[in-house]
Formats: sequence, structure tokens, C-alpha cells
Amino acid sequence: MARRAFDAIAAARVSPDESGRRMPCIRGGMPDRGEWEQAVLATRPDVAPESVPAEILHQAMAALNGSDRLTVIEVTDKGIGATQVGVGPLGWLEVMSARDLADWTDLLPMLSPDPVVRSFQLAGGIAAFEHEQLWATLERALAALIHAGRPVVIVSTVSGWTLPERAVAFLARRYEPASSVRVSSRSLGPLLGRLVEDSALHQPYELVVAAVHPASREVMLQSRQLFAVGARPGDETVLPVRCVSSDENGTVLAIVTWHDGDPRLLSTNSVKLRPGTYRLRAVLDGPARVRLVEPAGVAPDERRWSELLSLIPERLEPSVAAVDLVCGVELGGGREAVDARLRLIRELIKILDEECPEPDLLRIAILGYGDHALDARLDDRRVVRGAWLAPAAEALTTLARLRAVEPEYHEAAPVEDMLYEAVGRLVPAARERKTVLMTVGGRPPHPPRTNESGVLPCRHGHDWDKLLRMLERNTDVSCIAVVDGLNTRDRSTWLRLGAKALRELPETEPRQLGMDIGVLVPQVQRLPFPLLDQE
Amino acid sequence: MVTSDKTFPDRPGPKRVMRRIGLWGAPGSGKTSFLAALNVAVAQSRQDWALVGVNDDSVAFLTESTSTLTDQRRFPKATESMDELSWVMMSESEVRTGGRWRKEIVKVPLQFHVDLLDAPGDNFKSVAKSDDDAVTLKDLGFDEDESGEESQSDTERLIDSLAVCDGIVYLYDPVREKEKGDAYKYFQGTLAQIARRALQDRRFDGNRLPHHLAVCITKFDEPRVYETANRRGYLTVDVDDDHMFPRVHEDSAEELFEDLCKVSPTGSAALVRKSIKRYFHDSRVRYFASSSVGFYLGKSVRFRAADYQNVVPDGNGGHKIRGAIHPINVLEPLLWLGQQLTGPATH
Repeated sequence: MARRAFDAIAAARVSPDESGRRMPCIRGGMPDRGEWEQAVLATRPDVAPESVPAEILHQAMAALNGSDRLTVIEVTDKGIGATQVGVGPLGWLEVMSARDLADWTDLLPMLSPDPVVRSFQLAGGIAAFEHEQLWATLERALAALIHAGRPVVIVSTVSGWTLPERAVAFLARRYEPASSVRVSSRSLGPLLGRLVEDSALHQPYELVVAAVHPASREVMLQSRQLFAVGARPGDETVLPVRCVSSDENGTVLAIVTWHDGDPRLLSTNSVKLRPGTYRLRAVLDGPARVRLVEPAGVAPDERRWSELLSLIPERLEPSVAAVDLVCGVELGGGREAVDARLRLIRELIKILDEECPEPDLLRIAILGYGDHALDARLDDRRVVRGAWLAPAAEALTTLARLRAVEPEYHEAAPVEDMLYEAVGRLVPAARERKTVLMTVGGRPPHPPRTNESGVLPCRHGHDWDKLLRMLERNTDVSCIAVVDGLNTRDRSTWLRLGAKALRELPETEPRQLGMDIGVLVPQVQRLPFPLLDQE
Repeated sequence: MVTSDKTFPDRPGPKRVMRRIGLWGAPGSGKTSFLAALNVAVAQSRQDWALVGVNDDSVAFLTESTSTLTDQRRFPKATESMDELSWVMMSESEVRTGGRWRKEIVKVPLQFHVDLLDAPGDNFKSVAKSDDDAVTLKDLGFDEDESGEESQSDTERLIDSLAVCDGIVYLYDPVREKEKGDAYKYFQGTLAQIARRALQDRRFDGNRLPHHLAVCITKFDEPRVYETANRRGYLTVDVDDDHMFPRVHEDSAEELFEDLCKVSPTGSAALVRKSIKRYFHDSRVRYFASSSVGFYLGKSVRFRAADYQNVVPDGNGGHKIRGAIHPINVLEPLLWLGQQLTGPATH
């Protein structure tokens, strides 16, 4: 009678309906209706609502990072299995391994091969077994089967069954502080899938940028965050970047995420941009899907990563060194000639500004020099106009204000007045920056005194040669000159004014000029990756 | 040509003997500018001179050329035709009068009747085929001028004028000579013609021409000329000159001429000097370093050696003048000639 009541409880756990009452393995014969109702009453399962495991799993997933592996151990009437959820290579949660359930017969070979009888045994019909041996066998089998990570959540779908409960208790002890929950649903698969799909970014998505060591000028690759942990599809971000000269494929915009300490390339795009500062605007579309909406023209780059890495120069000399450029420009000699001179300087400044990786590295002075009146009695005009060292944008504004003057005298121009202004400012100041004095004009300077050349002297008595010598003696200023056209008479003068480099204007390209004078580096150094904008 | 009228009556009074002074120089030697500067020089002179045109052309020339120089600050255009220009220069001269026992110095009115024949430079060009043709008074054949009858007529008229004059102002342009070296080419042919006429008219004084010759080294203000004089130490300053303009001392002017002759690329200037020595009495030749426009002053009241150049290119192939005109040794050669020609006319 007692054995029948004991087995009836096990049968009721397996099947609380009539088929359970009729289960032949109940010792002592089929229980009567009263005995069966008591057995069923005794096996009412203690299961949690559907939302409880979802919440437990959600919280466990949200806390996952890098190497964490959420292990969800599922205990069912069929067997026991473990599913792991972790942060995948794309920075998003994914089901890392979904093992098939281990059948109970694999775990406990002594159980009946008959599924009905086996279920009865699992539910508690274990009178025929030596219990201690059974528990020991079960724990050995579980230890061999389950290699859980952290955290662990144990979900049992067979609440109250003797052997599964024994397994749950063992696993909870083994993986303390594992959470355990008993549910009525048959499978966790759909729930896990839904939770993974709804999760947020678990590893930052970052843009690959280049960084230049300020001292060694070595180029290093770094990454800067575009999307932080927790970002969700639809989120948008902006990152300012600075591009220098790249190759014909443009600047590479590569998105990576870090996984197990290594960068994982998510996408590679490129965009053809002139050197300069840009606003990079990106939208997170999903795992490994980042849409670059600004700047325009971004297209997939099919090159291999190793190929892109091979394009990075070992060192990146600054396109523009920290430099003070003093531009003296003649404003006489005809509007066309003056326009050509101003145009050359304007283009040079723009190139220097565009290619300068750090805006404050470049300062430019504009000193336009006009003309001396033939008769000093009639001359109260300012000879030199412009502005001293200022950022490129201000220099361009100053340049735009300069106007051509109609010279009264065609044999010389007051270069020496410009030099007087420049030297007077350059010599007293300690020159910590590379300084270049660039004279752009057509006529040679006035001599300090009347001489047999017949060229009128400077009406202020300035001696251009003496000023240059003073500059050379007291500073390491480089002198370059661009002359409208060289003639034999003035050649030696212009060679002094352009001691470092002398060029004729019609053949002078602004970029070449910048390289010749050492403001731009001699070789074009191309960097396929953007630099972080400092602002 | 310049004429001076002087008479020696019993009582002091204007002299009436006609004296003629001819102007001579190669193209571009500054003849027209020299004449134009004369009016300015007269006005600036400390002496009480007056220069009055005697005909409309002369008045117009004086007015226009002075205006061109001082107002427009440009050089008058080179003479393109034979214009007879005539002025009277009026002043007073101190004359010694009386017999042995009644010597006295009295001031007498002095009127230089100035007839200037401003002629194009080409008329002075040699018509001889080579330099050798003109080095002696023999074989002074007068070749036909290729420029035609009219030019030939002008040339002959000029030669006639120069031949019969008593004094000659010869303008020697050292800048032109350095660049072109053609001074002798323009000098020797005309000299040969003057000599031939003098021979015909029996005006030879011994074996020399009877003329007084004022050799004006022009463009003294030009840096190459000035600097040469400066380097050689020929410069001096008239302490009475408010502007302290440098001048070449009269004793040094001939040496300056010699020095400048040496830089002639053809050496023809040296031949000019040899010819001057050969055909003129040394006592009747004087050298002057002249400048029609003088030196630039600017805001200064005194000459500044650092910035004195008064003539500059105008960018169109011509020249313009920077500042005020201060002629140097423009009036002086004429006055010297006038003073030398106080005796009876030689024709």
C-alpha cells in the first residue's frame, strides 16, 4: 500500500492524468481513484511564471562583457544540456554553443530504456536502485557533461522530479551563485533567441585612426569610440577627424570592435577627401552594421586589411612644420603681375593650411610693398601694408585686402622697406620656429645710395643687403624668392633674396614651392587613415 | 649760335661787334635740353642777367622748353629742324677806361646778342668715310650726304654757321659715348668742314682754328659721370651755393674729360680730344662739367650724395625728371665765351 502510494506520486509527476494511474510500473497495482487524487495533489509543481526566467536571463545578459559566457543549463525530462551566450566577435550577444541535450540514459545508464518507465524513474520511481550509487553516478556524469562559464542560470522544466531536482541541486552547488528557476515551458530556445536579438551593443564600436608621436613622429594606429556599450540600433554619433594626403583610393574609414584583446574589423570603407578636417557622422544599424552618412561619398573598400596596414608610413613628418612664413609681395608692376603674385601666395597658404595637421603650427605674415614716389616731397604714402604673423585664415584675409599700385618708377621696388619691417620684427625675437622669408616680386630693391647702376636709392636710406646680412647673422631664417622673370642685371640681387631657393613665377607651382622651401616635406607622405582632429 | 655785341666807344656803351657762338654735339648729347635749361640758369643766376627772345620762335621755344623741363618734368623733344633761335642776354660789364692818367673802371651795359642755331644732331655727323679721312686738313673732300638735297642744304647751312662763328659750345655726352662710342664720328667730319671753310676764308690763326671752344661734359648729374668725378677727387663746392651742389673744378674738368674718354668702347673720344688739341689753341679751350637739370634735392635744401639722381627712366623708353631743375654750368660756358670774345670779331 505504501509502495503503491510512493510510486503513484512518481507516476503522477510524469503524467497526472489517467495514463499515469494506469502506469504498470507502479508497485502494488493500479491505485484507486482516491489514492491517485492524493498522489496528484502531492505533485503539484512549484513553477515560476513565464516572466521570471526572462527577467533573470535578461539581467544576466545585460551584465555580460568581453569574455563572460552566460551558461544556461536546461534540465528536462529528456536530459540535460547547456547553452552559452556571450559577446560575439561583432560586439553583440550571440549564442556561442548550443549543445544537444544529453539523454538521461547517457547520464545514468541504469535507467530504463523504455521512455515511459524512464520518466517514472526520473520522477521518483527509483526504489529499485541503490540510491547512493545513483547519486554518485549522476554527479560524475554531470561534472563530465557540463563545463559552464559564468554566470550560470539553471532552468528546470521538470519541477519536483527526483532525479532532475537532484541534478539541479548538484549544479547549483557546483556553480554557486548560480540562479535556478523552474518553469513549465518545454524549451528555452525561443526565449533565448528573443533576448539575444533585443540586446544592445556589448563592445564599443570604434573608428580606426592614426596617431603621430609628437617627438619620434612614429605613426601608430589607434581607435576612437563611435558607439559605446549600450548603444542600440538607430543611435547616431559624430566624430571630428582630420585627413591628410592619402592615395587615389582615399581615406580609409574602418570600424572595429575589440574582442579578446584584439581588434575585430567590422567594416572597411573609404572616401576621397582633400586634406582637411571633417565631421564623421555614423548611424548604428545593427551588429557590424554602421552606416557612415557624412562625409558624402563613402564607399566600401575591398582591399585587404593587411594591404591597408602596409600603406602606413613608419613615420609621418608633419606636412607643415611649425613655421612662421613671412611673405613680402610687390604690389607694383601692373595689375596682371600683381594678381599672379597674390594668387601664388594665396594658393600656397591654402595648401599649407590644408595639409597642416595642427592648425597652430602655421603662422603667416603678409607684407605688401608698394612704391616710392619719385619725388620725396610728394610722398606721404605708406610703403608697406599688411599684417604680421597670424593664422592662415587671417593671412588670407589680409592678402585679399592688398591692391595693386601704379608705380612711378620701374627700375626698383621698395623691397628694402619690406625687409626693414620684417627684419626689425624677426631679429629681436627668439626664433623657436622655423622661419621663412619669401619675397615675391618683379623689381629689385632700391640701393641705399645713388650709385653707378643709376637705380634710385631708397628714400628712407634702407640698405637691403645690410638688412639681409643682419637677418642671416642673427637668425636661421631661410630666404626664398619668386621673381616675375630673371634678368642678368638683377640676378645677383635675387640670388641673395632667394638664397635658399629662387624661382621664376610663371614656372612656380605653389605645392612645389612649398616643398622646395621646406615648408612641405620633400616626399609626399600618404596616410590612408584619418587623424583625430585635435579640436 | 650766340653773338655778343660789344663796342669800344670813347665813352662806355653797348658793344656792337657781332660775336657768334655755335652749338655742337652728337644726337642725344643734350643740345635741346641745354638750350631749354639756359632760361632756368639765367633766372637762378646771382648775376643780373636777362634773356629776351627776339622773335616768336625764340620766345615760344623759351616758354615751351622751360615749361617742359620745370612743369612737366620732361625733356623737350630733340630738334627735328633747323630753327633759328635768338635772344638777347643783357647785363652789365665792368670796363677799364681812360688814359694813362685817368684810368677808371666803369660799368657798361653788356648785351649778348644770342643767336642759337639749334640743329638736329645728325647734321654734325661725319661725312667722311673713315676716321683717317679727317685727321689732316688735306683731302677734305665733302662727300655727298646720302640723306638727300634738303638735308645736305641744312648741313651746309649749319657748317656755314659754325664756320663763321667765333665761339663753339661742344657738347660731349659721356654716357652716349660709353654706350655707342660714336663721338668722333660726329665730331671729325664737321671739324673738317669748319677747317676747310676757315682755310678758304683765310681765318686760320697760325695753324690753329680761330674759334674759342667750350667743351661741355654733359649729364654731370648722371651717376656714372658723377661717381667718376667723385672717385677721381675732382669735386668741389661753391661755398656761396645755398644748395652746396658739387661741381668739377675748372682745373679738373679737362682731366675728367680724359678719364671719361678712357671708358669709350671704341676709343673715339680720345681722338676727339686729340683733334681739339690739334685744331684749337689751348688758351681758347675750356672744359665744363654740365648738367641741364642738375641734382635732385627732394625735401633737403642741400645736396645729398646718397640720393642725387634727378633723371629716371619713365618706363616707356624715355626719361623724366624727379624734382626741381638746377642747371649746372649751362650759363657759364656762354658767359666764358662771351668774355673771351670781347675783342674784334675774327670775320
